[in-house]
Order: sequence, then structure tokens, then C-alpha cells
Amino acid sequence: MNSIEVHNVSKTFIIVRNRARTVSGFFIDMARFWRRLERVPFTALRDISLTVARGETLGIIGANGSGKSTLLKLIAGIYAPTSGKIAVHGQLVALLELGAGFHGELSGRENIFLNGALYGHTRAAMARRVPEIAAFAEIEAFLDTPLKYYSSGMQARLAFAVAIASPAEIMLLDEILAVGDAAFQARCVAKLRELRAAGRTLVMVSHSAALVRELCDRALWLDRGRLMAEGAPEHVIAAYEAQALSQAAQKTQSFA
Amino acid sequence: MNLLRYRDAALSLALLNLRLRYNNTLIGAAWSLVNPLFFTLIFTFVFTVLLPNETPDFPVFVLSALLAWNYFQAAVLNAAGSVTNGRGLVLKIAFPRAVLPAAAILTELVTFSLALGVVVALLYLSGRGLGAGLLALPLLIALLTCLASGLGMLFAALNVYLRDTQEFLGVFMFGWFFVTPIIYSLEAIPPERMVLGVSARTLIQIVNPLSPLISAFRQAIYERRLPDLELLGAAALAALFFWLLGALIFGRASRHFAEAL
Repeated sequence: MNSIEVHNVSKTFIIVRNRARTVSGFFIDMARFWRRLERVPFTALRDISLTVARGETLGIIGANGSGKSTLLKLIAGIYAPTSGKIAVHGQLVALLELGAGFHGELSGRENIFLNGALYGHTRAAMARRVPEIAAFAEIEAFLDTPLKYYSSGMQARLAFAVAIASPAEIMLLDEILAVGDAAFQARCVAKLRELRAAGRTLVMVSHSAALVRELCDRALWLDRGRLMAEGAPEHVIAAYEAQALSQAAQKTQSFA
Repeated sequence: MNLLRYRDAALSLALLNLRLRYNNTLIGAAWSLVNPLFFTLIFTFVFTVLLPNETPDFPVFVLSALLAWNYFQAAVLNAAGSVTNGRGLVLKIAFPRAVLPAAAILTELVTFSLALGVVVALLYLSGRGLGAGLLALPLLIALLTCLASGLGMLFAALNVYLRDTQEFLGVFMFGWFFVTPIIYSLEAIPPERMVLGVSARTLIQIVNPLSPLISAFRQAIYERRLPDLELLGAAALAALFFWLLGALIFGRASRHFAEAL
């Protein structure tokens, strides 16, 4: 039984920019009724197919700009694919940026409700989870203090705690483990392991090879929108690191 | 429907909007009442002192339509900007996009209800009352909300692709105010007055989807009676049509909001 099925998905963005390259050209364009706009297609993902089995933990690795986040946003339904099909079986929550939807004027408790609501959880359901969330984030004493008075560490901890408290069976995680101090990170990893043991389906984007090796059943390497390798984390990471090293060596040579 | 699961999201966002709006104000939510009262004062000065007219109880006459217009205008404008203003959320969270205009409308509905409640209470205290008109108010509010939501969704979707929409709406609303029977009644327009070869009365009644609703509000609050059935019929038709149109276009466009923002 699969939780996520991605069939031959490509995603092309149209990047619109002003054609004016000079200051005078900019003002001429401003004065025109229709501005001269240049539309440049950019293919972020090319013909990607993958499946994630129920209860599986998949790690996605790759350099910056390789399409990892775009892939997660497509699976989450934030972007629509240019071609291909995506099927998701089960309730899914995409945690793409910690603290998205947080507001400084609201208290910690109210932020928990707002954030939970944006992820599709009712106020009543979130109310039951408030104690657990506050305990994990270690902010019990500040639950009714406006978020703007929190330290950035407290905000990050609360954001992670709210995100991870979702009961959704499928979770997409985009690099959200890089928060808090070492002790909190260790607890985050322990929490993810707990979710995994409980049979949740996890798809995580990470720059940390150690984390992918430790947590994932399978890994996938994207490079400039193409699927380069897929399989046991050990092998995929080795292939990715080998390429990264050889590219770094070439760059260093070209400087010499 | 999926949106039902997200009703608390619209509610929470509306509460946030309200809090932000009145956070650092002295009289807070009372502004939602003070604003129309000031306008009523101004119009009353203009139309009883400067340009006298025969309408009895002119302040009530204006206020009965102005409150509804204020709600409509604020709801449409805020809903129109809701998706572009909610860019941060749209890019990062996969909630149904209709939550954003819904929250904007809800925010205005709350302030409108407060203001209307106070005005109705004042009318009863003054011994004037509303008579049978009171019974029609819930239906009228529902229809107005429906119409504003439809137009709000339509403009919100358009605004994602053409930011000119919001600029344009400012001017458009100013014009719309004057072709809606708010500071005058349709009956006050001379029947022989023609615009584009059509009687001006008929034109406003047929082309302006808001006109029947505003007239119905006036009949309920000022004339203290149940609104005419044909007004209600026209209002319901307009509300339903624009709601469907707005929902359809918004639903279609919302799949691509994230990449267009």
C-alpha cells in the first residue's frame, strides 16, 4: 500500500522579468501602457517518478536549487504539476517552514490554535494537545505571553512542537530540524524516531547526511531537477558526496 | 466539503485581523460605529442644510443604507487583497485558499454586526423601532455577505495576476457608491430621466447588483416593514449569481496562486 505516488511529474515555472536593463529603459517602460515583460521558462523538476510506501521514511538529498523543496510543495498540493500525476492516500501535512503562520501579536496558545487551524485541525483538537506541545517546547510558563516577547529559540521550539503534534499519517518535512540548541535537536530526532516507530509515513528533505543515514529507510538524490539515484541511504549518499567532491575539486582547479 | 475542516482557520484569522485593527486604538471596535455615524452627520448636513430635501428623518434614511454599503465595500476590498496579503501563508501551507477571503469577510461581518446592533438598539430606545423589518435583517445580511463573498473571491483571484485590481477597486467603489441608492432613493430619480436610452431608475435597478439589497435594507430599517418580494428575489438572484461566479473562478485559479505570487 502506497501513501504517495508520483508519476512522471515535471514542473516548469515561468519567470517574468522586466526587459529593461538600463535606467532610462526602466523609465521608458514605466511610461508605456504595456510594459515589456520577458517570460523565461525554468524547469525545476524533470520527469520524476517515485512512490512512498505506507510507514516508510524517505530522505531527499541534493544541492541547493536541485528541486527538493519544489517536489515537496508539489506533493503537498501547494504547486500544481506542469505534467504528470500525483496521488496521496491518507491525511497529509507539509511542514515546509517552521513558524509559517505565526504572529507576534498572538500569545503562544493562540498561535498554537491558528497554526493548527491552518493545517486543518479544529480548535477543540488543538486544545487537547496544548499541554503536550507546551511541554515539548518548554514554554509552559509563557503560554499566554505574546509571541513577540519570546526568544528566537523559544519560537523555534514552539514551531517545531506544533508542527510535529499533527496527527496526520503522512508528514513532509523540509529541513525543519536545524532549530534550537544541541539538546533540543537531540529531542527532535528522538521525536521523529518515535513517529517513525508509530508507523507514520515521513518524507524529509535534509542536508544532513548523518540524519538521513540514521532515520531513513530509503533515500533519493535530486540534481538540477533530475532524479540521480534512489535506494539504500548509504549508497545514495555515497554517490551524492562523490559528485559533490569532484565538482568542488574542479572548481578549485579552475581557480588555480 | 474540505473548507468545513478549515472553518477554525478562517475564524482564527478573522480574530487576528480584528485584534490587529483595534490593537492600539483608543475606542477600539467602537470605530465601526463612529465611522458611519460621522458620515451620516456629513450627509445630513449636506442634504438638509446645503441642499434641502423633503425626506423625513434623513439621518435614519441615510444610515439604513450606509451601514450595509460600508460593510459591502470593506468586505469586497479586504477580500480582494486577502490572497496577495496572505502570500506568506499561501507559499508555505497547503490550506484551502478560500480561507483567506472568508476570513476577510468574517472580520467585516463582525464589525458590521456590532454597528448594526447598536443602531437597531438606538432606534428602539428612541421609540422608533423596526416593526416587521427586524425579521428581514438576518436574511438581508446573509444575502449581502453572499454577494460580497462572490465579488471578493473574484477580485482576489484577479488581484493575484493583476495588482492593478486593488488600485482600480478604490476608484470603482467610489463610483459605485453614487450609482447605488444610498444618499437618495430610486423613487427620487425623475422617471423621465434617461441614461443611454434607458430610464435611469431601471438601469440602476437592473445593472447594479447591489441596488435591490440596499433598497431592501432601507425598507426594513427606515420604512420598518418587510421588503418587497421582487426586491428580495432580485437580491437573491444577484447574490447567488456572483457567489457562484466568484467561487468558480477562485476555485479554478487557486491551484496556481502559489507560483503566481
